[in-house]
Amino acid sequence: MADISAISDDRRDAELGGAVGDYFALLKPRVMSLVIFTAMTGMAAAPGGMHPALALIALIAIAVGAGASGALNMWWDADIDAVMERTKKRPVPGGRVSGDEALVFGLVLSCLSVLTLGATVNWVAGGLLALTIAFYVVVYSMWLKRRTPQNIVIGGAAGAFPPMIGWAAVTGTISLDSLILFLIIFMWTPPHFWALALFRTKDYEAAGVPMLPVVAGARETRRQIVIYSALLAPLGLAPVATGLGGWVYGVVALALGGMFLALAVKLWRAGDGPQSDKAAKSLFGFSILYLFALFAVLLAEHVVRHILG
Amino acid sequence: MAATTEMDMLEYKRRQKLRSIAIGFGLAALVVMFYVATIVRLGPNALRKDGMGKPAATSPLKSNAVQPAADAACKKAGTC
Repeated sequence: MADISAISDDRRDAELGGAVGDYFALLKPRVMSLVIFTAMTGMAAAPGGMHPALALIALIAIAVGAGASGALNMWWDADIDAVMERTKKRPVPGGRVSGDEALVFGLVLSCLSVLTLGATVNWVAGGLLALTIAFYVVVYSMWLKRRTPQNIVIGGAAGAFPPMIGWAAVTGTISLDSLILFLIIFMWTPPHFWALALFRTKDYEAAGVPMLPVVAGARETRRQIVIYSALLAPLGLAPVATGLGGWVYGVVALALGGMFLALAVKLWRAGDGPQSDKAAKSLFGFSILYLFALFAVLLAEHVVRHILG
Repeated sequence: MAATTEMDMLEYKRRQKLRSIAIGFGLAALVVMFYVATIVRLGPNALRKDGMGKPAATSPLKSNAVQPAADAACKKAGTC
């Protein structure tokens, strides 16, 4: 046990060891909940069936894998997290969990989640989960995040994999439909994070993270947001073309896609004026609703189809 | 300082105990998941006490395509 009699107050928490809640926070529970939700949609939308117990195990493994990548990201990014207002209270920069503990925690959970998914469900899904973790930690966090404004464009793939993993858990394969689900999240990620970066530019600047508003300015970021939103809106309708989504999904995707694009254009028109931050926050908030609603409708349609046989 | 140290000691032990319990639950969940997955994958045969499962319908020796030929061969040889 560490000698805790001589420690200073600011290191007290680290010497005492993190509480269980701090380790849970390392898993980025809010991100994890979105991963569970999109993976579940991928599973429900996939053709064929799966034993409910295996489906539950698959979801747990995917969630833990996503959480593990979050812990590894927090270990690697502790220095810049400490500078940013939004992240400075996270367990590692807050001094409640040491970097080494976060690293070991993330590595152990990564291995366990991949092995569990591979051994109990199938190795295509297990392999995709391993790829997701590696992509998020190595490609996004270690390689791209501090080097290029395209960090979240390419790194966004990590967040787009979960529905594909869910699909692979049921079918053991990757198909056009699962690729479409991947592409929807992939195309959604840049406008979502750039909207956030627009009203958190100073944070990213202070941390030295080359987000698009920091490197290319707010005007170029708003232009890119409009471009990606214009690509996302029709892409959201692609599941209807392949039969993956029904007419209810089509109507919702059309309405939400139109709203997304309208908010992006509104942000573009706001310019650098006083309404700029408000417009960016509106788009950021709506983007979360957009993805949630799109996948919720798809999930509901397939659950109804399963019930009606 | 002595009071603080004693409080720290208690807090250290409390956190350590809670972490141990959480790890215990995590390992138990892992064991249960592998147990359930094994039972589900093996199907009802896993619960047979004699350890003998019902032969699979797709077994080549029992399939419709192979069985008639095997029957004819044993009749011809007089070993049926």
